[in-house]
Amino acid sequence: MNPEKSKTANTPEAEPAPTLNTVPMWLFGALFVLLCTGAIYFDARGGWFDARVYQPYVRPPEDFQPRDPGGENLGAGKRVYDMACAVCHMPSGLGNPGVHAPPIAGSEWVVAPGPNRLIRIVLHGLQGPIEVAGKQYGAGVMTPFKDVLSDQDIAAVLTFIRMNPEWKHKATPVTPAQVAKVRELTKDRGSVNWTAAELLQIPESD
Amino acid sequence: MKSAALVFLAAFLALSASWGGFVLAPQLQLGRGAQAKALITEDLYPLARPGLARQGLEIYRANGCMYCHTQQVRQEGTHVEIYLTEGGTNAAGVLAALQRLSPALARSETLDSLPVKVVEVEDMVAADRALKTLKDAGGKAETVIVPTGADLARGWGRRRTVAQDFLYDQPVQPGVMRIGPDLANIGLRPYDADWHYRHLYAPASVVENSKMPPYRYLFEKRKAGAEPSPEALKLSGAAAPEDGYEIVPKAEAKALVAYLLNLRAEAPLFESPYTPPPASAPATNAAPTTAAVP
Amino acid sequence: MTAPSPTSPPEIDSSGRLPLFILFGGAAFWLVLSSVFGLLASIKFHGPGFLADSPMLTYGRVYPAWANLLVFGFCIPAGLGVGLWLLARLGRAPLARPWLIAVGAKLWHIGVFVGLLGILSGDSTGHTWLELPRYAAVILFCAFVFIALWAFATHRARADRDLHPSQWFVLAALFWFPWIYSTAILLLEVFPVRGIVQASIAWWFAGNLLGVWLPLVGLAAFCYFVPKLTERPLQSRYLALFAFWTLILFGTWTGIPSGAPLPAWMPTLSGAAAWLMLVPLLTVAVMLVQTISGAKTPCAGGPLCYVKFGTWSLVLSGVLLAVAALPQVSRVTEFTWFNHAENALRIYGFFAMTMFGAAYYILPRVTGAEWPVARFVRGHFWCGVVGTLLLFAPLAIGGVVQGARWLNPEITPVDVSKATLMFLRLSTLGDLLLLLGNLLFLVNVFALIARHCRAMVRVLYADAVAPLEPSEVKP
Repeated sequence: MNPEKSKTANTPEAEPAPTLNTVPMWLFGALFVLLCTGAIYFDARGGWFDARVYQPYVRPPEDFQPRDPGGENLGAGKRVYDMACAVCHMPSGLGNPGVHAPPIAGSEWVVAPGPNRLIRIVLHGLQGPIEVAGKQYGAGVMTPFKDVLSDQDIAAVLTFIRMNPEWKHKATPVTPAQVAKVRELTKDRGSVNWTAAELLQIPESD
Repeated sequence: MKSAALVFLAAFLALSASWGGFVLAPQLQLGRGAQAKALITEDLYPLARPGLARQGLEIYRANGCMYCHTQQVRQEGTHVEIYLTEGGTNAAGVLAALQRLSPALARSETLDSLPVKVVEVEDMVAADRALKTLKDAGGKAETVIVPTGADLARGWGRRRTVAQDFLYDQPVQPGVMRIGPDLANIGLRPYDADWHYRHLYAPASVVENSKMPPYRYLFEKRKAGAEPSPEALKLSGAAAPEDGYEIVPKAEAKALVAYLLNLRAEAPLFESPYTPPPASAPATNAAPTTAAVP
Repeated sequence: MTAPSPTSPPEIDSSGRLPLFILFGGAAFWLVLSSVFGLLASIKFHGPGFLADSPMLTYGRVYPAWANLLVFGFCIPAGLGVGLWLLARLGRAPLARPWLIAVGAKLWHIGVFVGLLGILSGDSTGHTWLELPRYAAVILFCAFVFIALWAFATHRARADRDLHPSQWFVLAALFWFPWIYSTAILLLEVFPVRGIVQASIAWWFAGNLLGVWLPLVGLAAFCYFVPKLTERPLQSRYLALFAFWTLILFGTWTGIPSGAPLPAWMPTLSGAAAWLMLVPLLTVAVMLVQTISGAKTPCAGGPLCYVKFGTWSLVLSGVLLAVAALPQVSRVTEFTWFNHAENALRIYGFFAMTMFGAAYYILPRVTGAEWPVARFVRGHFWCGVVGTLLLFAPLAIGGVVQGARWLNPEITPVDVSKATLMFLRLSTLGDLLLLLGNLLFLVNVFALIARHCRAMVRVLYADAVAPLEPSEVKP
């Protein structure tokens, strides 16, 4: 040990005070960049706190659920239904006369041989009088969903309402390709709602 | 910061945030987990471990097996495979469909060796399209969901490990280090209790060049009677005891092996789905061979 | 509140003599024992049959014995010793109730001893970095809280009201450990939670212990000793504040490994936190460079060398942690020796070296005597540096080799472990050198304490046999 230190050990020493220099801006910059990177990373891979999302899935692995033997996967469609449709048509599918929403369960429009008219209703909405299951519904307006739901979502929800065993529906499933085709055919329509009379001109299936 | 109170406040804020995140939140999300229904079979999963296997977990913990073995299978992705299972009556139609999906298979011999894997796609939408093509042509087809990754290719499992797999373990032993292979599904691999006993007693005698330490203290060496005990290990070579002696597992070894044989984390679950390949199709993940995996 | 008048440094130093002797003496002893266990564990890879017939010395018990003696036997008592001394020195007040702190320190070492016996006899809890069984953990917790309370009392009685950055770090560390340890013990051992939540809590604890507690104490020493030894002011108070806040805000989230069988949000958050930890570490690097730039003091194998090496090790280990949090890297490095290498760099390279530097400065002042073998101070430094690098570099490279092989399903497990053997052999050399260096430290510390005690006895003896002064004789 050098003699200088033993000297300081026996004399009162001043504790050096830190300087008051500021933090360089680039450190704040680095903090900001890393915070953004971390947020993007979390958004891309973190599953947003869903307890059922594990890596490598980035959403609940609903797209990889096995089909029921011979049946279709209705879970994804049910999610879309609960989110987009149940507000007016009710989770039970019985409709809500208070907002002039006709029932879905037992509707001949829903279990039609083909989905051509249904896809159009979801894409652009519907207004004016319509007869469902023998009853007239008049004053309601259904909003267009073409900018809200993807082809996959529309296919899933239509498959769900056409095949829901709770409503004893046994129609055919709807594929995203069918939705895409109709979307392409009607792309010039804008956001103009359909009327029942217009729809009845269109064949139910190709 | 001028006072200790501020320092404590800062520490309190920072620590309570991560406490909420990594202690409280997982407890709320997972801590009250219950048995779940497995996909397809709808069996309840997981089942509580039998008593002997639970004692075996204690042996596993006390001897620090987790410092060399994980119980976490990793998964890197998932894909969907379409199998043609039956050609049906319209062979020409099915061949035309095959021509569209996988030209290499569009030969009449293909229909003689069913089921055959037609295509591998990335998601269920594409799978449904392929399925429809085959069905419309009159064939019968099945969709198979296959998790992928190096761990799975090693035959360590069919899917990744999830929280549900640890529901009944106390303490959980996910491990941190792989000096040896993963054990999440060791009970499903083709090793019986006898193999495990010999492996624990003298690892190198069953797996050449194994670096696993021997656990001879879990076994007892005793004088053999006129008839060798049915429990005695069938050892050969350098590991075998001298004549007139035999090696039998102690209670600890029996419990440990019962636990290892009970490690089966394979049921398909909602959060880690997969489907088995169609009957009589070769398994997608090569089954491990005894020589390859100790 | 009127501050009491400042106490002179020698008085402060001598007030801490007994507790610091116990804390550092015990720490040096456990460190050597830990190195012995580390060496044993390392040798087992050369011959798996080595000492395999004794259940107490099987790899699965020797390894946790190494890890826990290192952290609970050495790091925490040494950190407490340095923290207490810093609080007293910077507050310019003597240590409050040194006798009681000494009792707490004794209690801590008893807890470590009991816990070591527990691990060796198979009572480990089975959670990494928390293996010390419940009965030992309770003793350790009480001892820590007891010491922390008197440390806080020392702080309350300080004469210098302004807080030096080192004091923030020490106070936060005193607060941190009881919280994380009590949470872990209560929820894992006393009222165990179910299933994988246990692993989440254990990882949270380990992340906070290694990722926050060790840096807090180490940086407290850094903020004091680097300016002190270079005789330049610390650059700067605000940089230290920035490092403090970012360290505690981000470090506390780093524990969950990237492939953990937990919902994706948890490992993802930890990965992002590992990158954000680059901010405090860059700040520390800036502080170090700015503070010592232009300083004329050569470190010459003395305390400054230790602290400098320790600080750079911390920065490097943080960079490795951030790199290993990248998904493309973690799929290779996870479950391999790489993590062990990173821990070795953090615990040996950063924390232990910083604590050695601090101890080499503090203990001579506390005893008022020089180191009995001054050459050992320098020898220890080089053993520590070369040993750490020989432990760290081969294991980090070996970990990458090992991980890349695990990713190839064609390579059998036996071949994977064979590929790491060369690296493990090199790291055994590192273990050996560290053991040698730690022995030098132990010899020096014990010789210093022994010399001091002998001097005390001599003084007492001289007092006892000295003829009475006339003034003391009562008429």
